[in-house]
Amino acid sequence: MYRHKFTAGALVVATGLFYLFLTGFQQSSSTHMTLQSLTESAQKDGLNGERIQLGGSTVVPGSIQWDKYKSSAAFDITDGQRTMRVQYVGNAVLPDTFKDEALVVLEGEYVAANNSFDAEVVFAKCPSKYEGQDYDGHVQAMKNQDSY
Amino acid sequence: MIDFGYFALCLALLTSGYALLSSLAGGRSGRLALVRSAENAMLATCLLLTLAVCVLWHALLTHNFQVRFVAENSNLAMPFFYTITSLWGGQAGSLLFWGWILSLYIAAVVLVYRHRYRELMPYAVSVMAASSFFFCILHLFSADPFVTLPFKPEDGRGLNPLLQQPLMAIHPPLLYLGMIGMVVPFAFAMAALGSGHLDSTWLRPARRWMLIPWSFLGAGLLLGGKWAYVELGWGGYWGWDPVENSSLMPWLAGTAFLHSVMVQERKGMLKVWNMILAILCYGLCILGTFITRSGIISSVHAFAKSNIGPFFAVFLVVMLVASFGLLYLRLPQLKPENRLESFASRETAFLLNNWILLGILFAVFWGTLFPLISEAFTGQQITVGPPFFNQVNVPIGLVLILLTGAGPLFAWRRTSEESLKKSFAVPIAVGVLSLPFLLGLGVRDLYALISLVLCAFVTAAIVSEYHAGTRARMRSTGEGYATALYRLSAKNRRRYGGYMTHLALVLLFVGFTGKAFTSEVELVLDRGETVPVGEYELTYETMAFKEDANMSSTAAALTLSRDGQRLGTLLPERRYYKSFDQGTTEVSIFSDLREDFYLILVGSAEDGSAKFQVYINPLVNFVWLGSIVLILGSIWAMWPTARDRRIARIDRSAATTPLQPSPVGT
Repeated sequence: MYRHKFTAGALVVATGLFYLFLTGFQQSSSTHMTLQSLTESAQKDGLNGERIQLGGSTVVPGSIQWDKYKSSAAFDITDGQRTMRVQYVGNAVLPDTFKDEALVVLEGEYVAANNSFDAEVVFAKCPSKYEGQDYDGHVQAMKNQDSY
Repeated sequence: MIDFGYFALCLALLTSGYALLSSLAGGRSGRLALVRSAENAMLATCLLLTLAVCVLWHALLTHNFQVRFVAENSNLAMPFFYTITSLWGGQAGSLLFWGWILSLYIAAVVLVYRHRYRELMPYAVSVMAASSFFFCILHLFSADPFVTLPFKPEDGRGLNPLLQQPLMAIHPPLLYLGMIGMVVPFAFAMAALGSGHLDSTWLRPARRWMLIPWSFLGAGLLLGGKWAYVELGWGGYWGWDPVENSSLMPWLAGTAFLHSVMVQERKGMLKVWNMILAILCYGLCILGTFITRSGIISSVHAFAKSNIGPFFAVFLVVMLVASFGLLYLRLPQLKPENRLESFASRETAFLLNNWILLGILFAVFWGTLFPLISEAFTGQQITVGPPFFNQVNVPIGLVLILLTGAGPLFAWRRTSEESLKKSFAVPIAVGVLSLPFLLGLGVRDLYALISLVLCAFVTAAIVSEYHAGTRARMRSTGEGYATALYRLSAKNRRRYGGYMTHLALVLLFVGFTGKAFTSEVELVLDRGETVPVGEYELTYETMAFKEDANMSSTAAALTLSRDGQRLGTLLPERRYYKSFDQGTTEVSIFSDLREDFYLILVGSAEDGSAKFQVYINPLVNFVWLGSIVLILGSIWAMWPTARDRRIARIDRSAATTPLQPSPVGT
């Protein structure tokens, strides 16, 4: 008898959890893309309103246009081949690591009308740590600089 | 000098490899001398790694920039404290630091159990040695800290100013002490399986050596949150980032383990489950390190991609296959000694506790790894953000906190209806009475109401446990209340230390609940202007500029008042560190128990006006308060009692007393 009560209870709980999982997913999932895949998908089907996480691009040096109080910015990103204009539309202050040549991951929507991206969230990483990559180039760079 | 360090690493590879093999051989053949030599080999490994770490520290402190690690992670201008902590500021150094702490843990276990658990130690040492051996491989073949450059730079690169914070400096050591230590309970689980001693013997060392890393891990997690809150300026302390989740998951599994071992110790049930949990804890630690260092899942925590991922992946797979394989072989011998007799029992409560913790773990695991899973199935990486984690974990968390209060009120085996009524009466009453009180305060959010009512219930339940125990002790010993309370807690450290950590959990939940009421506002103010913000008044007094060789800073001074009473001056700042081309935001916070007034200077314009962002974070200081109580409770629970010491003494003398031949005829 205990068995049945137990199983019934467990099923109810599991169903509830499953429901929470699903709705949670729908509310906050975003597809990870790169500039390349984004451009390709945009040409194909427009991507209307889909939440996108855009990674693998860096900020084009000199492209950052701050507003009066540096609370928001418009900037260009590039993956070495394409560039795209980005407008920050989020609430929070932009991270301290956001600057020229920073590697950025953006979350937001693609604006087909002007081939730009509205970013609600901006994550920025410092590009200066390059362990494990291009050791020789790194050594050469260090040789050519007085300090880092 | 550097060569000594490298040489020490090579030797450590040999000693740990030797220990791995000889310990196993000694365990299987019963040759104690082999086991002893293996234990000594692990002590030697510890000495060698200590030597290696000292060599690297020496290189850092003498600014030997010819060593690549030193050049990349320190510079001449760095303060002494941060030069020391830069040891773990880069991949190679932090891995060496990890390997060193691992060797310290192993040495401690070897020394503490020198004369105890002789049936288990051979296999436990072998497993721990395997872990150490793996890290020595990493030190030598993947992330060598002693690589030198073909020239000697004038100055090093130094540490990013975002990381030059005391909190950030001790955050990695705390996390490492947590994650690394979980190899010990795993080793004892494997030892039980390997040696065939499948009773509850392995639980005793496993439980103690789970509590220690679990405490460090919890402290590290909360400290990381505090740093994020104070330093990063987004008003929060937890972002459900993959790297954050990586260290949360082992902690959840560890919490489940600490509870379920009690069921096996008392009732001989959940034997297989405890094995699975021990494997899970350690496996999640390796997975966590893998996720963090391989860069395989995109994260805010900027650790560069390296070739180290495959090493960890292989190690994880080997470890899981070997341990689950061993468990499968021993399955027939792990039969439960008792059955679940009633729902109203402590066994059920612990079982539910485990399910809930693993439910949260599953949600976090799924959400964290979903990008990889979705990519494998659909070719596209899909990520989930904080709303997913919050939506799923909040309801589960509420059930958890309910159980935290209700669980201890149940008795083992079966709780009589009478006993239930007696134990639950006051806590339920307190919970129910708190509802109108909260509604009166203006709380309307459903989750927040449930959470705070439950917190009231749980607090009352915990207090009633202390009270009942104290009263019982007073009756039997005639002591006064305070003495009885102290002695009670000191003699039953695990139980009452555990209750203290439950109380800490309540405080944490109160703090978390505050997030439901967070408000945020952006203000543009002219100099001298006053503006109302919620219940406060904020006056922007003045702005100051400062510049020196290292950095330039813009600081604003504002006065905060409430109900006409001046509360204090806030000094939010924006700094710019020239050599790093790095800006930082220095947040200014006015804290009291009720809430935080969290002020960020966004930017200033030439006309002297400035933009500010304000977060009002109610109840957030309960999180930091809960953190402190959690640490205190853990220390209380861990501290050896007189009884522990007596048992240890008996064990040791039994192990070292030579066997007397029995007289003929008896």
